[in-house]
Amino acid sequence: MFELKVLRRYEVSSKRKLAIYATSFIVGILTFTLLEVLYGANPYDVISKLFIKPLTSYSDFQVTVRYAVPIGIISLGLALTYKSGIYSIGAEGQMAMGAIFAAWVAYSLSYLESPTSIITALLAGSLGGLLWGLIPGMLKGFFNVNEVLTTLMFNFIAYSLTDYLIYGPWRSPRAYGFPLTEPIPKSFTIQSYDGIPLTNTVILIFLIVAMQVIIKKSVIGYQIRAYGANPVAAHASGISLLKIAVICLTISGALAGLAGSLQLLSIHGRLGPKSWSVTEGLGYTAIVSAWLARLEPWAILPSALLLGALVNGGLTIKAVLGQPEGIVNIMNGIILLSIIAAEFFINYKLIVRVGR
Amino acid sequence: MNFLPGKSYSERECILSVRGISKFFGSITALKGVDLDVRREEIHVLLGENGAGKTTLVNILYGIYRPDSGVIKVFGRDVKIGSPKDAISYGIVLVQQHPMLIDKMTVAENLSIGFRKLGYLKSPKSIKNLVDEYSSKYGITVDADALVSDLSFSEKQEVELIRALMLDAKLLILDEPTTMLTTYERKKLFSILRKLIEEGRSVLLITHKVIEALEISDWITVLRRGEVIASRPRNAYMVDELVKLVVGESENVGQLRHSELNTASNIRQRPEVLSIKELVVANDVGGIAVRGISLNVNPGEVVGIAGVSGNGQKELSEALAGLRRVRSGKIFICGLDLTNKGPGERVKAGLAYIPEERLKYGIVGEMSVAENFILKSYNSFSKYGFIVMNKVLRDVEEAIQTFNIVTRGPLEKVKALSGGNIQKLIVARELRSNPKVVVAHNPTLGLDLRSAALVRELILKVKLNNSGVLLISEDLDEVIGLSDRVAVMYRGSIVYEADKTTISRNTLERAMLGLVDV
Amino acid sequence: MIDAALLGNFIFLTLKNAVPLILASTGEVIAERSGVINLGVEGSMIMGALVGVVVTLLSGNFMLGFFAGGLAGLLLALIHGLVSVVFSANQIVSGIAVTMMGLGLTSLLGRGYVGKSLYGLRPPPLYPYDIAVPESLRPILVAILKHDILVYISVIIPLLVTWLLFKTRYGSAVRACGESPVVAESLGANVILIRFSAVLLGGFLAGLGGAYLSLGIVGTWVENITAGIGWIAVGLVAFSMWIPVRALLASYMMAALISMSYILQGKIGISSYFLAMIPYIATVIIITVVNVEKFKLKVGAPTALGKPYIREERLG
Repeated sequence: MFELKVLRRYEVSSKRKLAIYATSFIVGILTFTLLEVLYGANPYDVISKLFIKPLTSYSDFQVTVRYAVPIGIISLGLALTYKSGIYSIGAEGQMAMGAIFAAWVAYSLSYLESPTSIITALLAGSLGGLLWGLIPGMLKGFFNVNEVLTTLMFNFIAYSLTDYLIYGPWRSPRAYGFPLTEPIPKSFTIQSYDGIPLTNTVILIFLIVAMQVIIKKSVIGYQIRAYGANPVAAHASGISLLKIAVICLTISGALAGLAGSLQLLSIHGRLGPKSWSVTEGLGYTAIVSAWLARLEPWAILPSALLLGALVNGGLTIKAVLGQPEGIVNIMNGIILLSIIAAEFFINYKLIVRVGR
Repeated sequence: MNFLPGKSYSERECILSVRGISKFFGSITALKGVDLDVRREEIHVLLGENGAGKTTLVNILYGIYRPDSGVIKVFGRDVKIGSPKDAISYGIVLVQQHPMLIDKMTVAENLSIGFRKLGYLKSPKSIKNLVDEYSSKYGITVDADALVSDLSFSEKQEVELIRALMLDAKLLILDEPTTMLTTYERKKLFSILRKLIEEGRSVLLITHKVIEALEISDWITVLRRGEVIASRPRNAYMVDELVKLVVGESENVGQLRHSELNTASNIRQRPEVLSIKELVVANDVGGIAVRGISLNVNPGEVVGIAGVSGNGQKELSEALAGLRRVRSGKIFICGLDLTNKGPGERVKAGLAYIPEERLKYGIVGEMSVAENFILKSYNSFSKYGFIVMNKVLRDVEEAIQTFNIVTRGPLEKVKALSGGNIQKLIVARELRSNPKVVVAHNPTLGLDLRSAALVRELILKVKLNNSGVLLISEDLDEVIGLSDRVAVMYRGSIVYEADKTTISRNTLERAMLGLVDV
Repeated sequence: MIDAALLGNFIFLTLKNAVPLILASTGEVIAERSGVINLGVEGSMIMGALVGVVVTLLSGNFMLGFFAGGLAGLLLALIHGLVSVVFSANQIVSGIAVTMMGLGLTSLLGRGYVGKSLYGLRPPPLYPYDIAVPESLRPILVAILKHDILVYISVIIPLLVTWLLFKTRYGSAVRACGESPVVAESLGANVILIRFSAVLLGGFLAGLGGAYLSLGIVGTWVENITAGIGWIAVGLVAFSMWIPVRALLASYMMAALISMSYILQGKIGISSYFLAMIPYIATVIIITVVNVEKFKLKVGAPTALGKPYIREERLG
């Protein structure tokens, strides 16, 4: 018989933490590579396409950044929310709602001039995402309803709503039968410079700084951190779950909505179904990015870049090796598992004894 | 009755033999060079006060702690006990003070879990026969189909005894088994124990009650401050001598100081800072824990609630803090009806809460000392929505000095501090805001003597500030030493109340056991 | 007057659609009773759906397909169990990650099977003969009797699970782990093993449910065939207060809603996309309702649900 013993580590040096973390990330990547290999791909090929090229070659790096920015913006909001112990997975739906609201502004207020047009659309998009996070937030705050389920359900509802719009009232007659909307007016388009969406990147960096300050120095940041670390003691001290839940879910909703509208205005230009969707599954990738950054805002920048690279690489593999979208999902899942397993190994030591 | 006639002690086989056991927690010596022998068919009492080291020794015997030095032998064989499973495999079974049973399930279901011979898919009811067999053999009256939540404390304890029998226990360790028993139940327990040892088993009974030790034991080992003071057959002790051995020198010089401070009281009659009217609070298992308590605390007064833990104190304290809903009745804080309002409003009204479970309710372990210090008062350190850290650090440094909190600095994570220092931090924090009323639940539980003395002093200082204190404590000496009025809580009600000038310790102890002469 | 054919159709669809919900939610009841939330149910279900189709095609036997689907669900749940029970990591994030993996894996591995026909291999109705009954009653009887064996088995499964949880030693141990793992451990249960086994059982049932979705209901494999059914099943568990028979009834309720929204498509003025939202909105409503304090009856969640249990060695 073998025996499993668990020993709590008391003092964990930052070096050790980093080492365990990095190891787990690498294990995750290797597992994924193994999977690809089993499916017939060349491991060197996989790693280079997955990792190296998206970060090193300039043209690929542009695409990496293009993914990293929405991922980063969303994961900022998610990091805040997860810090409080609330597990929202509704970024996809909030993104979609953000895009819908922004599109509505673009179509209805098409007379607006840039940059007013863009700013209005972005604000509307943030509002859309905010509202989509508000309801699960209130349900959680008032009745402690499981936010994982509610935010997820709202994702599905948002998908259906998008479908309704693109197959119905917003369907473009000029799209050759494809369910796409009209392209948004030029005045609403955010330009990229040399392939890199500069405006978006600036927004991201500004948000990172703002979030870092909020979390570390503001009263609400303090309350969120206290609540996440010990909800019972925080509650006993008068910190209210309602406030925390509503604030976290509306902020993360607004950020996801912002990301969704940025996607619409700078990249996609129109709403579409599955493969042309504004969200591109980034709402889920952002979850992984938030955890990889250990919920620290400053770490979101490298984390989002890394994940942007992986998404980029994943799609390349998909195109080149002929595999479907699901690749990115598998990767997300494996990396996420490795990260939380790492948390365990950081805090505890595992001793396996064989024999008696 | 006490020992096999015709045999000398040293010849009888020892079930358990312990030599030179020592255990240190940092600078605190919990046990030093402890020797102990438990012979076959013996009821061996380990006698000592709270903090003497009894629990530590038991934890070592049960594999929860590893001794720093010393040897353990079971039936003459050297053993290493690394976990409760190890202990059980050697025939050592511990019955804890609070029964470890699942309330929502029946007795049979609870007992069947550890009964491997039953296999996985058999119904738990099939052990009913076994349970009945044990019951009739040893005089235990347990209904295998009864729901555990319906059982009295004594019945739950009997279930634990059956569990020990099913585990084939050779040495039964009972940790303070009589604290919650009536006299009748205690006598019943002792007769059960007598029957158990007739079959070659032994019992190691942990207690702090001298009378009881003399009543049931064959052999008494006295533990004081981690060392064995005496270990002899029961008949080799005289009552007074035994008491002196347990208590040592007259204790708590600090106690006298408290009494001094206590006389300088300044109680005003009205308005009450805390008023509880007919409070009824449910517990977690569908029953009622607090059965209609009414109590007032005036400014400048310490009201102490004595009682053995488990009589509703936890639920009362949580209800007062706003952490538990109230079935009926009212709670007024400084005149405001805050009966079912949340903790936030109580804090605003001037309530400070020193919880029993300090790690759970009192601090956020992962945050720093400074951040914990402002857990209730962060708004007063804020400007435009941001926390002014400089101000916080200054105040924290001051508190660290004043309360003598041992820490590497205000930025150290609170969970690294010792229990005593955590409590000092909590008290410092709660008192900083000059609360009108302080609810303190077991505030010195588990603290070393110096920290405990400091906390008690602080409570008295609060009193001098014209705040009121409701002190809920299992430590009877503490309650007596600090309170202006004492109430005793038993099974959810106040069964006795007296002014400090008219209390007698004996009456209080009896009241704590439900023995009130009306 | 209600059209008998319509009613019959409705009943037929409801009984069929309920099967994956019944299986998945009952499985999750076991896991949650032991104290573990398994949000990987959706992943287990979709793995079961794919593997069920593949094995049926390869072996020609749909019963083998079902069993293989169950195994696939179990294997995925094994990962969740390993990470969240043995390694005591965050149960919620682990479940989400496992679902992501399941969704991705099936997308990858199912490429070659999209839309593949299962002609002749799908489970047949149990009662193959014609029903000689007046026309007005016929559709309803058809709706009840002409199901494949799994529909009827799915009614029995919650009863079996009830027996398992409440009338066996194993079930007592499971429930003890869910109420208080510390006490359970002291009573002699190996909490880690028991919780792990409960998660595996739940995964197996979820896989079975997924396999029925592809084999019995849709008839083939398509990507994202589950469309959130697994998540809905998790919601149903809370709504049913962790009682298997209630999960059975709740599943029928939800299946009725789903069938209704399907039948109403095209018949009334509401766009089919809004009708499609019904199950999701309903799930939000029912889990809110359960939480509102007034409705909290004596039966609550297993006390230790969601809290990781670590059998620590105290370095004391």
